[in-house]
Amino acid sequence: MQKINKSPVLTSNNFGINYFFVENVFEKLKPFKNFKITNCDTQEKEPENITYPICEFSVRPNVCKKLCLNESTAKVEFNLDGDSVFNEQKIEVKSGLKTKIIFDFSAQNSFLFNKIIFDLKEESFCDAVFVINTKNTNNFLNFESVLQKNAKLNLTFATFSNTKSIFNVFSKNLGENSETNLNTMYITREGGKIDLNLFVQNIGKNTKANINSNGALLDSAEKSFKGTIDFLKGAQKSFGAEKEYCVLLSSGAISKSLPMLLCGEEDVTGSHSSSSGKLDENQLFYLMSRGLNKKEATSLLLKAKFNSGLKQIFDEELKNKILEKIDRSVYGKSF
Amino acid sequence: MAKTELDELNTNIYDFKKKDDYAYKMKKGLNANIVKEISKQKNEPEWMLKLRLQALEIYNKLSLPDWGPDLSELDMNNLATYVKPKSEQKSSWEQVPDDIKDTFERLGIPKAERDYLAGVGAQYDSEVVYHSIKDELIKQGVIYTDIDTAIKEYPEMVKKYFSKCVPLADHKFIALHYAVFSGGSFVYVPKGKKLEMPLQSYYRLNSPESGQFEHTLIVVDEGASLHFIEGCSAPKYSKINLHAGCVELFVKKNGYLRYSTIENWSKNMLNLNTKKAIIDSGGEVDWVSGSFGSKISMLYPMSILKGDNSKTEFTGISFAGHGQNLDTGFKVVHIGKNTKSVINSRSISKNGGISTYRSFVYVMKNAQNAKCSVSCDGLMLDSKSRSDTIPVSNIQNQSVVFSHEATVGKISEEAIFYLMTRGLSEEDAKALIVKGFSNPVSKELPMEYAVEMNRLINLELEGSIG
Repeated sequence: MQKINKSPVLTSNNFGINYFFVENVFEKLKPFKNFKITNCDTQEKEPENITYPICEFSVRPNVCKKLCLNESTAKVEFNLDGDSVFNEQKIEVKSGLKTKIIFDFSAQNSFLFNKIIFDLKEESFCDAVFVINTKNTNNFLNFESVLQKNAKLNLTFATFSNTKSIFNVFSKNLGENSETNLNTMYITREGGKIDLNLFVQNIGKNTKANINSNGALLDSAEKSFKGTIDFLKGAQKSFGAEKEYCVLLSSGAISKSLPMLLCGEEDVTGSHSSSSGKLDENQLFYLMSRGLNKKEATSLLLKAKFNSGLKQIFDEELKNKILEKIDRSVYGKSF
Repeated sequence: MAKTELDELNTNIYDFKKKDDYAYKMKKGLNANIVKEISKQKNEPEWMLKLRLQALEIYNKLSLPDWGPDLSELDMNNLATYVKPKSEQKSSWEQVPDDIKDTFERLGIPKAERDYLAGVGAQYDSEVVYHSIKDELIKQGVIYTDIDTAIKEYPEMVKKYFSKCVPLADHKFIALHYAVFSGGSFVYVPKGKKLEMPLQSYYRLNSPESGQFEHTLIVVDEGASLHFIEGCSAPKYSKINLHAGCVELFVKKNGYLRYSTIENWSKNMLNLNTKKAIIDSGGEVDWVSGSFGSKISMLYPMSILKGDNSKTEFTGISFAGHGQNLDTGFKVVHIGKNTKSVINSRSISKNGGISTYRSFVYVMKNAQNAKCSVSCDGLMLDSKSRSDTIPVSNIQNQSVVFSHEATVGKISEEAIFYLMTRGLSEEDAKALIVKGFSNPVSKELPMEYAVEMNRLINLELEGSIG
């Protein structure tokens, strides 16, 4: 067994949350071309005199491109079927520029490893959405970001899976007034396991970190959430808030949670809250008294729980796709 | 707003030394011969020696934890694990040697006994030097004695419960504890007996470069009720002292136990204590805990809610000052149905102190309708200090209601401003806010102890803001 997704600060190993244990799931990579890029120009070489954000886009071992992210929302769609893929993207947003990008992954019977690096210069803004819809596919997504002065990153990911989904985010709010907002939504079912390790460091003054996680577990699914906001010395007037809510829709589901606050600076405001349990019976009863059946009421309440994350998804088509997946999960249909 | 920075106050009412005068002091180190010698000194039965040696083997096999504060300073080769004071156990303060009696007088124990306690145990280094309980309680079947006497006089009862709540292999330092334990209290409250006045055990470690390893075993039988108070302190030495005690609590059906602790170890002490309760159906254990002293503390009391409808509540405060690393918290396991736990923790750090709240909530598969509410708040009084919150939950039942909230930050400037507009100085305003912050703990203590806790907070605060 391999130990991965290590918690930034360890606690007792008896608590079973420091690491995610995996058997050797890393598979041999094969050439892969089944992806589609829309709403942006692609180039093979580094463009000159760049006046737009760039995404260095590579799918190992055979693809390497430069995506020129213009004002429209770029969209990258992957469709994996029996594939083993390692993607790597580096999104660089130069000073004063803004960009929005969507990654939409669909995979079955595959293996997916994705590494994304965000480099946000002063006064820049990036809104990135990742939707990962997998069946019998182990996926590992690793995000790293560094934000300079006044930069802002909104990173939203929604995942629907029945196998292992591992997410690792490490964001540094380096410059003054920089801001990282992480939104995660997940529905995990069957024997699926999701491990979220979300870590934001507030380094500069007046920095902001928000971590929101909402999810639902069905069947014998298991979730492990490690969320950390770290206020380093010197991060005066910084703010950090973590919210983690998990709905257990089955008696066999397991929810583990470790929402950490690390504080080395006095002049900050940090908070976290988390809760786990079934849906509120009074709310279900009320909706059913208004004529909805139990599944409709359950679906509506789940959508309400996901609303804070859904609001961050700026693409209506994608948002509707996620809403449909919530319905499908409640009605026991495959994603 | 201007901040007040003064040197930390280093006077402390607990920091007075008596001559290192003893009847017997074990040579430093830890090995099978030392363990055998402790057992021989106590004239213990064979089963206890066997248990000690088994624990030593486990200790040697287990490694230091790879999490929490750095314990590399701890070297068992520099510590004496057993120090026998020059007095045997007495039941009258008059018979206790003057210097030991003076120690406990200064700590206020005899006065507390006269005023509001049903019984007192006082341990000096490794042995209990004074133990008494009101006669009427003895007649009603209440047992309150030191653990060595209990092993001899109530062997079946001790065998039934000893090490059954906290197993030998729980962690490295509990294995150490079982290998060299000495002193501590045994309490049995019979069925239906409700003690109106508390019992108190006080632990004083006077000898330098030594350890204290007392074992407290309390059984509260069906429908019975008890308030037990534990106090600890030591004078400050330049070298490391170790405290690795163990508390095992058994609360039977519909029984109730309140376990209150004010720990004020000296700032050269490594406090690696273990406390655990097993609670049967309808039973309840309330923990009230104040951690002030020690250089390093790793202290996480634990309640196992085994029976249906059992409950537990933890109210704790820790105050970490200069050179202190207090890693404290609480653990709860929900096994029975309709079990309930409430955790309320506060921590204050100042002048470079490190406070860590570390907890674990485990709701097992069959714990239908369990409810758990956790609240932990950290207050930082300056930017030299740290305040970390590391709470873990593992929820395996769908019907649970679990919530956790935490905050960390400094004293609100608006609150200080408001109090200053009402005529208070900045220092007084800060002190008042800190006392208000610790109020959830002090209000749970008997009045005399609440006053004591507030005095400790004042002593700690005076260094930085008073």
